[in-house]
Amino acid sequence: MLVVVMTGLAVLAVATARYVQESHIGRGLRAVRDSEEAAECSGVPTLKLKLLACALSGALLGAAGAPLPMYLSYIEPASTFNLLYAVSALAMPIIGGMSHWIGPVIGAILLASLQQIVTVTISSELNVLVVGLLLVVFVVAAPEGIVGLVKRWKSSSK
Amino acid sequence: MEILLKVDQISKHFGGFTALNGVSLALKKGERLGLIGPNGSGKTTLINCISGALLNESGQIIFRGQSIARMPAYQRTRLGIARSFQIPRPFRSMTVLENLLVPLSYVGGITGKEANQRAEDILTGMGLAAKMHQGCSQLSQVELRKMELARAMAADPQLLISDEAMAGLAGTEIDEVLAILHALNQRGITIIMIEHIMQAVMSFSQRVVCLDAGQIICEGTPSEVVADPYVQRAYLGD
Repeated sequence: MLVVVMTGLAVLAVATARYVQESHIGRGLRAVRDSEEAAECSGVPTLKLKLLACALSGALLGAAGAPLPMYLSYIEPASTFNLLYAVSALAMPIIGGMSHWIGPVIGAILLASLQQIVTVTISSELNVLVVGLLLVVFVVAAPEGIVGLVKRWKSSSK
Repeated sequence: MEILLKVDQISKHFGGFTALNGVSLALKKGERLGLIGPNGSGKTTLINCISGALLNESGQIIFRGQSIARMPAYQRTRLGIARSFQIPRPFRSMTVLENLLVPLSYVGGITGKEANQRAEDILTGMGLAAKMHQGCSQLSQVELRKMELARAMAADPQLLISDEAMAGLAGTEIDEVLAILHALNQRGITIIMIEHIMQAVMSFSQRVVCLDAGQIICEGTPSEVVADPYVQRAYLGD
């Protein structure tokens, strides 16, 4: 049951991201990121779009937290508001790449499986280190993430 | 002639600095207005107030019979005020063509193939057809300026404000941009041109307004303004 709920949420989140990217909202948001003033002067309601982006991402993250008590079978402040959740939520899109909806999906699968592998084979403490190291490596060496690396590789092999 | 834009006694302060002090201005439809003045005289502040990037503190701005002084910038763009920026602000993550798709979809509601076609037409008119699928980082300075004008045109404006679109350009490039602005004016678009290059302002404008220290010190035909002693003093000192 829990798997179904979590998968459903993941699909919903990715579908939302994909819809936003391909609709005119995505173009507007990209314009806002590049230059807010120029976006506003191109007719983009920047405040509305920023509020929408904030509300959408907040809602999705909030929804993602809902099955957590069921998953852990208990709930207490220290683990619920664990910093690692926030760091992972940032690390996944940064590692996967933020220019395409598939980026965070790749980042999430990669990071979560790596963390599980490290937890099982080495130690549960070390998996935090993995997140940190990967984050540093990607920010320094590939700020566009895996999606950016693939794009660069494609354009250079053309 | 119908009045398109009326600016009535607007003021703007930045802390203790008075950037605009009771500026009034009326613009007829189809007119070419030059806005000159020394650095820091309030030219850009004035057009920021008109385009909505800044809100004026007192006074009224009427555009097409509507009061727009409290309207957010994007609504003013939809109403027909477009501008280019003194320092070009392209959408750097997009190609030149995609830059134009932003105003096309957000102002005109045009998307898909039709939008692409419109963007191509506008870019061809600006002489940027060869560059349309390139990123903005690969454009030269004059091409960036043209792209800004093209993006402003994609919003299908009635009033185009060109904020120093020729700053830093060479002689022939200035002529190219001037020719583009003339062509747009021919199609009925009212243009406010802010420029430091005197020769360009004087040949382009039908009427010139000179600002100094946030006030209009002189208004008239180009030759009248150049001959005005206040203008000469503002530019050259006593």
